[in-house]
Amino acid sequence: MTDRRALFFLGASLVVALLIPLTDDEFRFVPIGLALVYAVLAIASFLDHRSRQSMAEEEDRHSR
Amino acid sequence: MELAGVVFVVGIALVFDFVNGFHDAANSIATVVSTRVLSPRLAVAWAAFFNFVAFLVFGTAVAATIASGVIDPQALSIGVIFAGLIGAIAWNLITFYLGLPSSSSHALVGGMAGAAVAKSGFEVLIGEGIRTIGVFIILSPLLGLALGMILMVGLQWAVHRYQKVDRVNRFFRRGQLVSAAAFSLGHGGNDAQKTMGVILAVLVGAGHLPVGSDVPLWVVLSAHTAIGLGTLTGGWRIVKTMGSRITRLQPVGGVAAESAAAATLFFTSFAGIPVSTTHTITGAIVGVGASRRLSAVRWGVAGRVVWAWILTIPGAWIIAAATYAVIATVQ
Repeated sequence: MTDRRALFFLGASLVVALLIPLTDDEFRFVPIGLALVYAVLAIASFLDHRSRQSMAEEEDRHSR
Repeated sequence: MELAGVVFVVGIALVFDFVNGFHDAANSIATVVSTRVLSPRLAVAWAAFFNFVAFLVFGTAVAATIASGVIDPQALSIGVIFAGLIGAIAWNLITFYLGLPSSSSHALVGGMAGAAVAKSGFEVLIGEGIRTIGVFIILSPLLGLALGMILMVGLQWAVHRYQKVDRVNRFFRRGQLVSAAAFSLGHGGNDAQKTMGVILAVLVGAGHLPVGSDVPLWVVLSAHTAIGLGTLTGGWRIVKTMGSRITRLQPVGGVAAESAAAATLFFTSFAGIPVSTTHTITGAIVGVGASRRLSAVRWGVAGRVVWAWILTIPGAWIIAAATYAVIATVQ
């Protein structure tokens, strides 16, 4: 099963990154920082999802 | 005659501010009421007080943006501002009826722009101001969402080893008083300033103040009084009817969502960027829900916010332009 949360954060990161050139220089740090935060959240969510999946598989193997 | 027109339009602007407080009060106190930290009556008084005292904290940067950063001040006549306000108020009433979580701020910008363009064409729009507002329409809920999620995860991590759950809950229930106060402060600061901007534009447009003037103190006080009274009057009724429909947040979630939204509003108010308080708190609540799992979020609400993003500015624009066309024909 795909990690929908990671995909959502990745999408948000891309949307925010697209806004960087449209933002005034004075406030450009906001979309830059936010795009990075969403990228980190996407990676963290993906890793969390993968570790939960492998733990579930491990438990499944033990129960058999 | 012109003075009567100025007084009338200033009155309409204050009505807009009152309705804003009336409409948005539930945003700032819904979580405090649903977690039974305060009774609805006390929660409304708490929010109204912090709406009012926001003038002591924030400057008038948002007011300056509304008055002179979006539309060329030379194009702002009393008729244009009146038509803009009618566009914003009418759009708010239509979306209230349809249940769309629209932004009063975006409606105001759309209405003013629509009326000004109907009078003098697209060249009166200030590209930089419009672009900044447009960018932050999308950024502010996403900023609230990210902050809400990070705060929620951080707070849960901070207390996850603590065994005394009752004590933790009691701590966060008290913490909600502070976070709700901070959100109400941000709401009062950002939203009351929009009305100040409109009144400043009326006074400049009618020649009572020179272009580039600061916001007079009476305008600051009357705008904060109107939004505070709106909260005090409407918030009570809205919370009473919403009581059973509020999503039950844990106190820790309430603290995270309100603090995240307050931080976003504080930043944008100091930076002079008008943003939607409704969309900001919605983003923060989505962030708190998404810290558990995506299915914990009521995506229908988030979807309606996206529709409100797309429709509000054009909707208020069209109504304001039509209103200005009627005014111009009558004149």
